[in-house]
Amino acid sequence: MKNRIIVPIISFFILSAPFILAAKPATMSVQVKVTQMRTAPSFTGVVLTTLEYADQVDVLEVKGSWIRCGDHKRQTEGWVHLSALSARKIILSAGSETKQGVDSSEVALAGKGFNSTIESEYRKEKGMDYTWVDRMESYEIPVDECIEFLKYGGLEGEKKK
Amino acid sequence: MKRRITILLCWMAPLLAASCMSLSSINERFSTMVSQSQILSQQAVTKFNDTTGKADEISVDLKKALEEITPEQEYFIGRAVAAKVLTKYRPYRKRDLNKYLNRLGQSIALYSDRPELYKGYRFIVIDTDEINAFATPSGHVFISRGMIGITNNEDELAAVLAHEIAHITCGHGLKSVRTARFGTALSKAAKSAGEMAGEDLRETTETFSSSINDITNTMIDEGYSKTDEFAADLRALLILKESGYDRRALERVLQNMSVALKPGEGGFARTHPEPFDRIKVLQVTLDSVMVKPAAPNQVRHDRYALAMKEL
Repeated sequence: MKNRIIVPIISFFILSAPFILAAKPATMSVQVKVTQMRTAPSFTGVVLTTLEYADQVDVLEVKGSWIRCGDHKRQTEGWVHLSALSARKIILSAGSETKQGVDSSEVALAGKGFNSTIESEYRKEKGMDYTWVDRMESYEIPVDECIEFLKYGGLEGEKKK
Repeated sequence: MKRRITILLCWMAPLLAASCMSLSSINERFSTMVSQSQILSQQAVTKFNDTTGKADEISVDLKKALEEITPEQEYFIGRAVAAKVLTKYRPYRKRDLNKYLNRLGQSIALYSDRPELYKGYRFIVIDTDEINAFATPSGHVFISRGMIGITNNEDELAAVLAHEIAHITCGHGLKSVRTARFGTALSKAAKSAGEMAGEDLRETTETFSSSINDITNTMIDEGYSKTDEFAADLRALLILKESGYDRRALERVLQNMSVALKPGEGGFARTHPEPFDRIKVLQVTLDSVMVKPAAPNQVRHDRYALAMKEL
């Protein structure tokens, strides 16, 4: 009789252990310079906060190309577009403290390889002029303005993203 | 009773498993999403493979390197490619026209499958009569005066920009890297202070420089493969569809192009498939979807006309 109870209980824990461990929310890193966390899974959603490169978030829900997540730093929950996030951990500092215990295959160290140091060297070596590249990059149109632009043009999109 | 509860608990294990898997497979979902549109492109291209010429294969090493690349690295590559483009073409310094181009381009990019880049999409007019357009891997888009000149309305201009955005979301630029040490240079870890120095710095800069040359040569002189061009057209259709612009606009702009491009002319005519061939591929997809033209809109008409005054 005892066995009839104990065996199923033990087998339950054995079977579910890997899943309970995996149930810990997946952590993703912000892989773009800045992105917004919104109230809804759409660029028309109200901005709750701005996330920066290498910020870490916990994934709570997936809806199409949008992820509802919790931001570690600001303790805020909201929606972020999938293309702004990476499943690989991005660590800003190469200091030993942050690197400890992290599987090297998961680490996409920020500033690795082609970075600002390489750019400076390249500019110097090849005498490249970046004045207009910088000027071009300053032509930023806020997302709200883009949404208005489409709306006034009678184009709200077939599917709100 | 106890037995029933334990049996129930046992049955719950697979359910738990299912919910966990949904969280851990975000990356797979993303690749599926991207590959769906690739399949769509591929299907149309296969139906029209009699005209595809250039080989479209990349080495295993490059494929691996491209999987590893971060948007930050893409950004530094893209900036250098942009600087290189601007050694050949002058920017067209018309504030309102460039602002309009950015409003339009950045708005439709929100409806691409990669709306977020390291520093976003940026557009600029280049001062040349030649019909041409380029996009760097990290979102810098160049459109010639000549190219804007063959568009008749905002929908057609949106179609041109959508094609360039599509090259970016498909990652076509980086595929043209031929430099052998590209992958090694990408994975080179920064030293503890985050700075590279000496031989490391010199070597990585050299690899960086030759990769930039590979991308720029393909973009400006050799052109992408026909398969990539057809794929970008089809992806552009999706962007137009999602943002609400007329899907027929791309076909119309290609018709304008076939009239404007002279045979044997350089630039776009050399680097792209014949507009007529591109239209044929588009029709495979266009005919299979309901096409409802976007309603005419005065605001859209007026702002396009206003911006064109600076052309």
